[in-house]
Amino acid sequence: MSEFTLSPTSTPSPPGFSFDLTHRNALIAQSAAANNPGKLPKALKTGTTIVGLVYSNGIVLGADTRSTNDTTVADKNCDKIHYIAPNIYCCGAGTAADTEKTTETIASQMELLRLNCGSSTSRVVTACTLLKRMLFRHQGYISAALILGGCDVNGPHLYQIYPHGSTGKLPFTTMGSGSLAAMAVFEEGYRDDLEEGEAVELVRRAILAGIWNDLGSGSNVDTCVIRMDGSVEMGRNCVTPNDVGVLREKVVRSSVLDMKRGTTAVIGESFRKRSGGGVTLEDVVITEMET
Amino acid sequence: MNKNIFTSSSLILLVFSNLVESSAQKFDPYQLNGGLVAAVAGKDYVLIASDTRLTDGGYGINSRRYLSGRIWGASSSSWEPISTLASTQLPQSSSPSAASASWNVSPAKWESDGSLAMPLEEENGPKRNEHESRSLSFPWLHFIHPPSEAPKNSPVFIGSAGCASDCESLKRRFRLELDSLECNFPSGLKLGVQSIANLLQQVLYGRRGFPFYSFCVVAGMDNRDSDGSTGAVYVYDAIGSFERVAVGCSGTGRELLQPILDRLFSESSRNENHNHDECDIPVAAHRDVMSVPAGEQRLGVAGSLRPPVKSFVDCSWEEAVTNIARGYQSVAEREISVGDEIVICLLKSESDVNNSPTLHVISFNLKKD
Amino acid sequence: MSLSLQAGGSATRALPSAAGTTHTTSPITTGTSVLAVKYRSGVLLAADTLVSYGSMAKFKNARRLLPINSRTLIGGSGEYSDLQSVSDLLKRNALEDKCTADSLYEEENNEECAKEVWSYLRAVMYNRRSKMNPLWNDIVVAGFKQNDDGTTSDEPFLGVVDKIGTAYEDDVLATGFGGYIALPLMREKYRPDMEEGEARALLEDCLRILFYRDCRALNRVQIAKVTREGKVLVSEPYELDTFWDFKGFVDTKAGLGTDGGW
Repeated sequence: MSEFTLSPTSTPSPPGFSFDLTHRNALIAQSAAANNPGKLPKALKTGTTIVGLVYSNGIVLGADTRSTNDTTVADKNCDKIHYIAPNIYCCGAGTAADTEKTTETIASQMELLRLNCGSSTSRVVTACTLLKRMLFRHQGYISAALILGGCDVNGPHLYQIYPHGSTGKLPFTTMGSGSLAAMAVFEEGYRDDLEEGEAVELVRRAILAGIWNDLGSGSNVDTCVIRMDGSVEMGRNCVTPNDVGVLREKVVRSSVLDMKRGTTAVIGESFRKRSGGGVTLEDVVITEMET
Repeated sequence: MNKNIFTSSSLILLVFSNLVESSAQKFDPYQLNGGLVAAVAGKDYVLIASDTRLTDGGYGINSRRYLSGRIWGASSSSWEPISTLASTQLPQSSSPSAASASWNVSPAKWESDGSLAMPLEEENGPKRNEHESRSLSFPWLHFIHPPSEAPKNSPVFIGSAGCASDCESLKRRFRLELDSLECNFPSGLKLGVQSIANLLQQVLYGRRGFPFYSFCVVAGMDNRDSDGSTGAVYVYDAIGSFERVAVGCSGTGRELLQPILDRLFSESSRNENHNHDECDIPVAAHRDVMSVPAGEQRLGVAGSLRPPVKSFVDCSWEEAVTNIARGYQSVAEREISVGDEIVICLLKSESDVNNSPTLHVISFNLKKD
Repeated sequence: MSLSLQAGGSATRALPSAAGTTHTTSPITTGTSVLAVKYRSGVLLAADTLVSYGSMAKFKNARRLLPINSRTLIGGSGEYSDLQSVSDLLKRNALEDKCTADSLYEEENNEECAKEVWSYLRAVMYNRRSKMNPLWNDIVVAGFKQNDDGTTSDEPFLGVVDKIGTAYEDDVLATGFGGYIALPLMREKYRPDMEEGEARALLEDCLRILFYRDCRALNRVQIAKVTREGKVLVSEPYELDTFWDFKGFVDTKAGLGTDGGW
């Protein structure tokens, strides 16, 4: 598996991340803190609720669909449950680009591995190992907090993976800024050997707890059920409690926003006939090459 | 590292840094608790609005029904609620198209300290399900009659958002100042909206060194004109700089709301300007529709000097309420700390009741996530 | 009632610095969450009995739910010494109210109602934060409102004040870590017409979950209530049962003796 070989440190400019400015940034932060305490540039807080649990016959993953940039909502219905392998999916919290690229990279490595081995499914532990190695190698600078779940020959597996590369194998877990709200719901409702229906309902409740109580999470609920028989059921937007249409119906749309014909002033009109189909040799002025 | 768009987060330690009180933590006397207040001045009405979400300064919601520090009356005792009528009609709508029939009339209550307060439990009502929008029963209205011996001046409202504890203290400080001033007046005389606006500046600037983090708007009826009273709205920064505007807003998300309101309230102004101009291209397309041409700006001493922008909008109150509600709905979709509910106080001069204005409180639901 | 805004001493007051000023730096001995909910006949409060000294579990039988007068209850999280001083201050006021000539001859109880205590506390906290020397607490005040004639109203009151003087009311409240863990559950389950048993079960569930997930929490707890009949009752501390034996926690991980990662 050559993908994991580290390039020798002697290489002048290795591909990928550059850590050249890390030290400089740390110094700036330090001096800023010393000169005007309390004025330290605010660390960007980002929010999400993602959860996963093991039930009697597999795994249920769940995620909200809000993506934020500081206190502004950047995407009202984004997708946080990423594909890893036909029998493995992964929820991502953290920087959107990091979670997407990381899961994409690992998904591709898993695909290559399956082709090499001639198998149709992957093992969850393989994905977990690939992910934690990649994250550990980047020392937390890839801010991806992941919940990895899937079913393989050894049964259902659920892992949580922190940006620095530490992992935990758990019966249920939550991550992101809404993780505490969601965890309260899990602690209250989780039992061993839940039925599928109960498990999905518990996941929905956990995500909704994040949606209502955590400002970093919002919009809709996505779920993903991965069963022991290898079947996967994606519940994209399975709960949509924040439909704005209902609210908007109560307020008449302002007529100011209706653009009447003639709103854009016409200064002049001139029509030209389109000359044939595209550029031909006739359209080109041919000049003699200077020799 | 250029991080542009974030989904989310991992950095639990950062998110909860205000909770984890390590020994290295420094005391921060401020907290931005969200809140967006807005006001619109019309020809014969003025309205002031606020959302009701109180955040913890981070990602948490402290309360979904916070209003007492957000909208409060500047004038004192003479405007306590005299009677509270259920199921009264909203004032007759002049344009039947306005869907005022489907508006919620807010159950907000007027408290004796001048603030509006949302009742926590709705009397006899079923528990509100957060998953659905509030079911619409028959509108019921808190209709506050002017007292029989109508005061010379109508009430003035102040909306404040920012640091909730500062807003609450500002309210108390301001009302104290006002009461002590009015005590020295001949009986019944009250400060007008312009004086209230000046007083607020003084109170805010009085804390220049350790400012109140309160971002305010003032709304009231201006009685100085001979041709009846018009709405008057003033907008402030935290330390007292202010100006008179037709439409203003303040607080979290004002950067999103102000341009929306400018656009929504521009049409009526444009029509008026249009007559002055012989050019076929609407003037509004070229410059700020709210601005008043230099030749039409009034000159004079401080009292009569008017701002070089229009100081009220021409649209009906129904339109104004609709526009405000629409603006808030849009902001609530993109700004995470704005949401839950919007409460609008509408002060409207009624020609039939001694020319004294009546007050109507209307509310709309916003997103709760 | 005394209008003095000065509270008692504070353990968080640092020694005078070189410039000769005193400032609160940080809390030292702290209590964690307080939970509160309104129910059919009043208000119910709950808190654990742990006071931590940094990460050390210092006092395991500390009471953080305190009756202030015959119809008002407070619950405090944050710096424990500040809480004690606030409690002393409020009790002093209550005693003064009880003993002043005005009230001696009145039939109706002249003590402050919960809303007055809450409002007063807001002023005290705001004043201290403005001096940059805060009382490092979130304090929940529970009781009943007052009618205009001074009699106790039927309407329950539940409010909270934090260390910078932010004050708000709600039907359910949680301070500290409970604001993140317990509050979502309480908001989901809350109904205004909950019976006492139901409300108590909800609070105990939340306390148990806090014990599972908050490192500064304990399963030794107290419950307190203010009821419409004018009673303030605080329970003795008792212990909650816990469960730690989910299969996934007990089984060896992936049968490999590791957490499953290679």
